[in-house]
Amino acid sequence: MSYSKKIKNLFTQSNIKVNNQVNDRIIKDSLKALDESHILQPSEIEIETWRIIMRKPITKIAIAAIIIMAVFMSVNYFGGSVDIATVAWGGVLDKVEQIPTVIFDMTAEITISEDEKLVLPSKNYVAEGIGTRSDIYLNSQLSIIKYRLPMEKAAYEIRLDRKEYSRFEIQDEQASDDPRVWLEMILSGDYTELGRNTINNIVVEGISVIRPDIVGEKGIMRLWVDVQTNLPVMIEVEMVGMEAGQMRQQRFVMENFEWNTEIDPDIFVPDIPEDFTQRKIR
Amino acid sequence: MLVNRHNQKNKDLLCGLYEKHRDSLLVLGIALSNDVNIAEDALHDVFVEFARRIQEFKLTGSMKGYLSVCVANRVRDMLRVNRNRERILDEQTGRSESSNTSDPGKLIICNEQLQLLSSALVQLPYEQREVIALRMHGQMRFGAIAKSLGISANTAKGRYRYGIEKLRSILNGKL
Repeated sequence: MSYSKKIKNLFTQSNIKVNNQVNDRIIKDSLKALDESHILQPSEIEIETWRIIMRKPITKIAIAAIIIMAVFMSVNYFGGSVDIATVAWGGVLDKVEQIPTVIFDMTAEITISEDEKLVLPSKNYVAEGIGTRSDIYLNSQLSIIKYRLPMEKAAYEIRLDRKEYSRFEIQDEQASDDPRVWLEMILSGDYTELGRNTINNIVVEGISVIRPDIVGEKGIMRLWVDVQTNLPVMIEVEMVGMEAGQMRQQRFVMENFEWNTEIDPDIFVPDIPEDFTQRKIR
Repeated sequence: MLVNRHNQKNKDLLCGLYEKHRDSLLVLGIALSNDVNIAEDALHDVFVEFARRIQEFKLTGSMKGYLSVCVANRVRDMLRVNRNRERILDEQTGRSESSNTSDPGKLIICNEQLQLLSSALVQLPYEQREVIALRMHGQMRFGAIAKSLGISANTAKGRYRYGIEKLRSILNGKL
């Protein structure tokens, strides 16, 4: 018997039943979702009416004529070419996935109390085929360096402030601290366009996504992309997460991206001073 | 009246599909995640989402293949979310990162084959794991897998081949 056949047999011989409690929950929630999907909201009815109007050929011709006139008039009115650069959202991830390296800054802000926030800035390096490195600062001092090296199937955390380090095995190839992971989550959601803005003198367009499955009910993720290059300029994540036994407001901002920049591979080699002791993983 | 009848038809369809595929999709979820909680949640989310969109749903291939892809995508999202949450919390507190192995409390107690399968599959990168699972469990063709994952058929075949090779060495002597 071929090996693939033996593995296939493992699938077919594996049997497990969904337990009753889970069954009830799934059926109840699915039927509820089905019922809700049958109730047309007023806005949906309006959209449906709008679709019917738009389907009429005469409407299409009229709209096309108005658009052509509007473009023509704006070109003449402003006396020059119009900046029509805009973000192609569908192409953002594709483009980023072609880029092997990126350096970016991330700031994590955790609300401790009404007037106290813990702010942790970090410099992050990602190189496809090598791994990731994060230099984390506490009180403006470089205090923690983290490496994730999928080829070595290992991750390291060096605590400069404590003269300690730890090494642990990892199993996944894609680093979770790769901004592409966030991009994928944002772009795969039902996003709302935020329009144009300027960040660090770069004209950007933004989208926001509410995904309770990722950032909770009160969370939001925003992505701002350069209209000229179609590359991300800023990723913002706001969520309420469990921290030290309490739900706390957290905000993460990834910015100052340097896409496709040259990174010295040596920076991904964990540099552990001899007098550092290995810490046991809890 | 017409709406009610239509609604009842959709409910019957939904319940029928759930009854038919639930156990098999749970096996798939466990094989992909090595975690019964994740598999159950993925199954839940897939059917709730399916119910929400049932009116606009158009099947172009096999139902089993379609639902398998949905479960695989949901499991992938959930694993990613778990990793990101762990990572974020670790960074904030300076705690050690866990090695991504499952919490012993979450490990599944089920039949030996499923345990063997999921513990071996979890050692593969997710991309290879899902192609193998969709091919063997969902009985999908490489072309259909490639289309549903947004990759080329050759990439799907390559992931499958590498994955099977790795499984061979992981399961050496156990089959």
